[in-house]
Amino acid sequence: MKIKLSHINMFNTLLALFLLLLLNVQILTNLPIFSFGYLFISLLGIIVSLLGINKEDSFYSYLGVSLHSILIISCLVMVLFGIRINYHP
Amino acid sequence: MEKEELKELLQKYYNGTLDKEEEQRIEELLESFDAYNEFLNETMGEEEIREVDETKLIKKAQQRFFFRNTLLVISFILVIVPLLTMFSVVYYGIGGENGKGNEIIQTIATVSEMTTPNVYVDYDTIRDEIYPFTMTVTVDKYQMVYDEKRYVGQDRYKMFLTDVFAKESDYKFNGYSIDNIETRFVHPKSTYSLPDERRKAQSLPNDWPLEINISLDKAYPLKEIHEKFKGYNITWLALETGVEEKMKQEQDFIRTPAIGFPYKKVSPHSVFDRDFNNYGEVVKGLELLNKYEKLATNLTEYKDLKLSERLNWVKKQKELKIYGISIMGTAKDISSLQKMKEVKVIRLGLNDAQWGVDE
Repeated sequence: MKIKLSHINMFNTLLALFLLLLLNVQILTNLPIFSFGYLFISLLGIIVSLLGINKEDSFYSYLGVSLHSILIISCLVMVLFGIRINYHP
Repeated sequence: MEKEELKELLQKYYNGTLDKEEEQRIEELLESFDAYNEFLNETMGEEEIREVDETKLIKKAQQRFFFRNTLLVISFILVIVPLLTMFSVVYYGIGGENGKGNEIIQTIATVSEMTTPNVYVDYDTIRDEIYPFTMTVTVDKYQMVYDEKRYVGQDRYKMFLTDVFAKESDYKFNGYSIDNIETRFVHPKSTYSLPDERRKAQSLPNDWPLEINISLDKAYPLKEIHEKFKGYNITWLALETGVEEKMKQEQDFIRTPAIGFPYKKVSPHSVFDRDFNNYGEVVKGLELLNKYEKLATNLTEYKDLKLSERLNWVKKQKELKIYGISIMGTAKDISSLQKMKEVKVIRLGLNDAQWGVDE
């Protein structure tokens, strides 16, 4: 059980890093996908995952994973579909 | 030992009438009672402590439950906006080039090109923002004054899915209201009398750029227009679509606009991009507007664009017939135009000063 939880936490940390990278890149490149406010959701995700690591509680780990996954999926989907709107090569 | 017997013995012990052996027995028994009392006291104390611990534990569990629930609710609230925005982006973006978002933008540009003479959308500066269930499109509009592009102003359309719920304009005096409707052309077969404004131009400086809207004495094929008005800076042509001759009252002109198309190539991204005044392009433009008729109507000040009727009529005709021309010219051009027998009514359109553009 402990090994599984640690795997979830590690996966969560990787997701959080990837999400931060995505958000930073899109803010720096001025892509109108996510506004600056979305960083706070990512921050909440990080706090939740830290709670998961600290308390060794799977609830927080799963919640952190869900938050990060939803944000990453919506960000990627928005890039994928949004890029084609009003695109003039 | 019986209860009554013990009572009797205790009474005797109290009176001091017991013999030594019985007295010793009773004292041993009383000592065992002390141990029992001690045990009872200790056990009860522990139980009390256990009760206190249990209350603490329940309180802690409640707090934990409350904290988890709060986190869950906050997370749920926070992800609502990204998720709804994602679904909205998918709604507008699915289908790529022919997706709803792109067709809405194309409709906005085509409506301007087909309903307002010489006012075009700048395709390079179109901005779109997507929020949950809504899309805001901001466009810069320009006018062609001879070969020069002149900025007119900015329009912002706010859409709930594909319905316009707000439109703002920074160059129209009353925004998008029927007060801005200007009747520029009248069909030769219409009984409505449109006042001629050619005299107005006499008071203007000769080099002042004017939008001259000419209503012709009959509908001419496009080829004849090229020949008859060669040398003039034609910007827009009013197209006969079968509904114009039925427009007889002022209300009809407020309700339904003249439909036409730009005379010159607008932009590579526009419907009017390739072939010069191509019949196919006009049909393509009308088909697009007809597909989004409600949207196209809401993008203008008018109430009814009668697009399906117009599209069917144009498709039946198989050629473009022109009953009105918009020319960018000067007062000098008006004096030469008024000599032509084809010119029935001359109306002056909005010039730079009226659009609020600095010279």
